[in-house]
Amino acid sequence: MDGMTQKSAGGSPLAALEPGSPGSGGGRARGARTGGLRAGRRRGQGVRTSWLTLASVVVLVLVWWGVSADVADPNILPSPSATASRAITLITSGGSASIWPQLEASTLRVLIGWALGAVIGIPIGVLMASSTHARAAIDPLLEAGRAVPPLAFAPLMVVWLGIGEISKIALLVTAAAPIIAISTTDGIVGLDNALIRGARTLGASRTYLLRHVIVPGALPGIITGLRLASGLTWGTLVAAEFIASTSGLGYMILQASQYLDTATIFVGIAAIGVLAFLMDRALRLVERRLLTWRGRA
Amino acid sequence: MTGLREWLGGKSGGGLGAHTNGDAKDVVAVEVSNLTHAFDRAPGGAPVLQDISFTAHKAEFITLMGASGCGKSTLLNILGGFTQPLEGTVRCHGRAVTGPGPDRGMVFQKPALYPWYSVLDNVMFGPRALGRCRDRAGRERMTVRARELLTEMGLGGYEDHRTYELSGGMQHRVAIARTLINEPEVLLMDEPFAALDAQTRTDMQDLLLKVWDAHRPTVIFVTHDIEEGLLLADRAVVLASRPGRILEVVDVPWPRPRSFEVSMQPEFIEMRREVRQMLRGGGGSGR
Repeated sequence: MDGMTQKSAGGSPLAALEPGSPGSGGGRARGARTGGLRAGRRRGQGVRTSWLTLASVVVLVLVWWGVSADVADPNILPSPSATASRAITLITSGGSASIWPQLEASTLRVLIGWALGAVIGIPIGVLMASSTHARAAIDPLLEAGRAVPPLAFAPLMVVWLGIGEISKIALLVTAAAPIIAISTTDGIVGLDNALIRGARTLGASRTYLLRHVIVPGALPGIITGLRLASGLTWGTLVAAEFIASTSGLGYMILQASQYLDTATIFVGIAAIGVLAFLMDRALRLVERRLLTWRGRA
Repeated sequence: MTGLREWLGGKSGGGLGAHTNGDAKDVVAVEVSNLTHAFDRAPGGAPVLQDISFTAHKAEFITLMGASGCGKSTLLNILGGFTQPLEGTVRCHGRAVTGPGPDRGMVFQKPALYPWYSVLDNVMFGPRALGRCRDRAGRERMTVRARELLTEMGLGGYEDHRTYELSGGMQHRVAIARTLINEPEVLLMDEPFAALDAQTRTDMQDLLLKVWDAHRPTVIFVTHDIEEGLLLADRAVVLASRPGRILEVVDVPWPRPRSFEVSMQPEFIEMRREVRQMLRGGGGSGR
């Protein structure tokens, strides 16, 4: 992909609109393939991989079963059946013992934090892609901030924003926004320069170019960023809900740990995993619907 | 080299008068004067282009020929408005070129189609960007025009296909239709067929000759392929390398409409040989 290197060296394809920049760049292969063959192969692979997924879950549960049988103390490692029955209790019982209010609280926080992260991250990404100066100013901060574990930011959020919802959401935004911004920038910078130049010679104004070429062209990058951010946000959730919380899966896990209720901790962990997985699947579905052309142009 | 000049002189009467088509040839479409360019803007930086001057008349087909590295693509980028030259001016129909615009349609080496649009929507990109589809009448008119152009390009029935479902040659035809629908004053083509296989390239050259005969746009076509450059051109500008400079402007006298058959004629083969020698002598390594 010599075009890619050329583009990253030159800053951005938006900057390349300015006169004075050499080269036309471009790295995507001309792919004129028959869709049928590809789809067929993909379908076949789907069947095989879903069997593998199922097998890996079964193996994990079997290993867990074996180990928990050796470890007699259910406070250290509850058996899969004990965990399952705890899960059923948490799902079916009402009131404060129910898992549903915690699920709802956590999902809502994640969705809000993630969505705000997108609302903040995407424009920052566009800004970084359109100006080498903005990129030089923002990119190192994002990269450095991204490497700091969210738990380290949690006390700061409490000091600045108190112990209410705002500090929790803010922490989630801190986790989501940088990766979305970075992926958006990469999506735009990785765009084939010829697509942008072509649009300019076809009479596209800057806004038309942004709406009809840059945003759709960067969509694969943006959606990848949104998917990564979804995982990061769920990963940060427990840290956020350790801050003086009275609801959420993180709160449930923290409470359970104080009573050495390991089975509930397991259920909480599994619930976060399942929800994060479902959100990723939903985003993948959107991705597939929106980007039928991905990798073929 | 003298042989070629004499031969050309004998055939065309010398000068730039070898145009066989009857359009308003006296109208200057593109005027390049004393163009010098270097990527390294510091004084003493090696120039990429040195003192380039030529004119393209309305409805004239000009090819820029030279080895890779002779700055021909840079020259086209300057004409397209993507690169500002260090010295000299470029005028298109009297107006100074300051940036890219729809008056100078450009076709690139890659088709550069938008994969998120259908074939028809790719052709409609220009009319939509220029606001020609705002009202119903305009939209209908431009859609009819886009379909006509696609049919002319041999792509009738492919309007609703995705661009990635088409072969490389077909994608290039869409790219040409997409540029032609804007009716640009000048059509700039940057080695558009260089990446195609030999058979497809020949087909595309024939198609381009046909389309050019039908529309008569002013074309400036960059190529490193001498045969292609001579086959298509009214006049071929031969460029030397390092720095890129004009060695010769060759009149190509064959009457139009032309086809691939022209390149089989002994006179054509002789002309090709002369240009190749010209390029060798000029420090390039033309083929």
